[in-house]
Amino acid sequence: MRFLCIALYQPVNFETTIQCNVTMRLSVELRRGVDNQAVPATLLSLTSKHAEDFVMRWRSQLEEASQEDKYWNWHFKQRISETRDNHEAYAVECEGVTQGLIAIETQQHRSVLAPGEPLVYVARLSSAPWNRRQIQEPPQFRRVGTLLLRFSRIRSLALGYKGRVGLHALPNAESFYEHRGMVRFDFPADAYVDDDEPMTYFEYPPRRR
Amino acid sequence: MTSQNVELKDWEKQAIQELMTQMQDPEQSLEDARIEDEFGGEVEAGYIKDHQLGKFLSDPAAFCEHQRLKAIVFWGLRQLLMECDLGAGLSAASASGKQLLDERLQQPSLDIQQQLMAILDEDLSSSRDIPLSESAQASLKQVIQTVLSDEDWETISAAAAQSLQQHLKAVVCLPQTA
Repeated sequence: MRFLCIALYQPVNFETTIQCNVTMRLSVELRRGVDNQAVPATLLSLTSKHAEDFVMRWRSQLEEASQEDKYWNWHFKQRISETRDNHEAYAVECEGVTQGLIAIETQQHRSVLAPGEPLVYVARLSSAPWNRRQIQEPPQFRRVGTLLLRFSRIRSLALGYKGRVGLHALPNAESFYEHRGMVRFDFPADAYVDDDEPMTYFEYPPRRR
Repeated sequence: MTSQNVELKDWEKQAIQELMTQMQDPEQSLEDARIEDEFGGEVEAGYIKDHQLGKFLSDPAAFCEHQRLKAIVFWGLRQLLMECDLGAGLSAASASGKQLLDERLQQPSLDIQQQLMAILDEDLSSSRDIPLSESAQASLKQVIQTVLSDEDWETISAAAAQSLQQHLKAVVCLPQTA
């Protein structure tokens, strides 16, 4: 049986439904783009509804704006998160619509900062097209990506990985991750022998005690 | 979700609680929104490209050669840009240049095609540990310089300059946020 490690620490606003798996729900706060007003939202386990929102609501806008993540397959991520212990996926929902998505891997990746140490690897992180300034100015909601990134750090701590999180940033997002306190690694281009698009790797060091 | 029964220390539990509290804290929420805004509002991350699987399955050998050729060309671009000593602007220049090269090499002239095929042949016929010969590197450099127009180089320079400007502002004028 799978279970929610974070729930062991009785955080506020966690509602867990333990059946054969766990549904995670966490109340969070977004900021509306036009007036910066607080808007309640929910961070929860990825369901087929969220993957469907990506296909039906996001994809055409992502294609139109030539966004790199337009072909990502969130249905696959949902299925794998339900069948494999080392894959997890979550969504941020607000006003009934999926505003952001994250998929993490929790067992097979290792730290670059502290070689050999396990970390949570962010396999995918996307915000809805209307939350991207490159597509809509002002964005409908701010803070979606920050919340998902912070949640990955919570998962890292809960798994005993001390807050270590690694990810490859898409080119336009590099400055965001640099300014969220992640360490940047610019590997030489020829380290990515077979990859058509070397991407910059970022890693959160362990949280200070 | 991971079935790991982890015994956490007090500081780890406290750190989790702090981060959980931040998820709903109005002041933190404003600060997060400000930082997202200040650094472009783009947060996307992820490495593997799902859409390339179909291309690979349809013709694995050709796909691998195509990917290898792209990697060589992008490596050549990176070498060329590194000679320009762009510092903090290198990544932005490289990203911009790769996008432009990708577009310009969709339908290259016969001459460019022949040069690229010769470079690829040399690469595939030698061990991965052996770098391209000097003549192949010179040919690659010449291809890149030919394929990219003056306007393209302007675009690449502008991307580097903008990135450098943002970097300078972030380092000199603004406090670093953890």
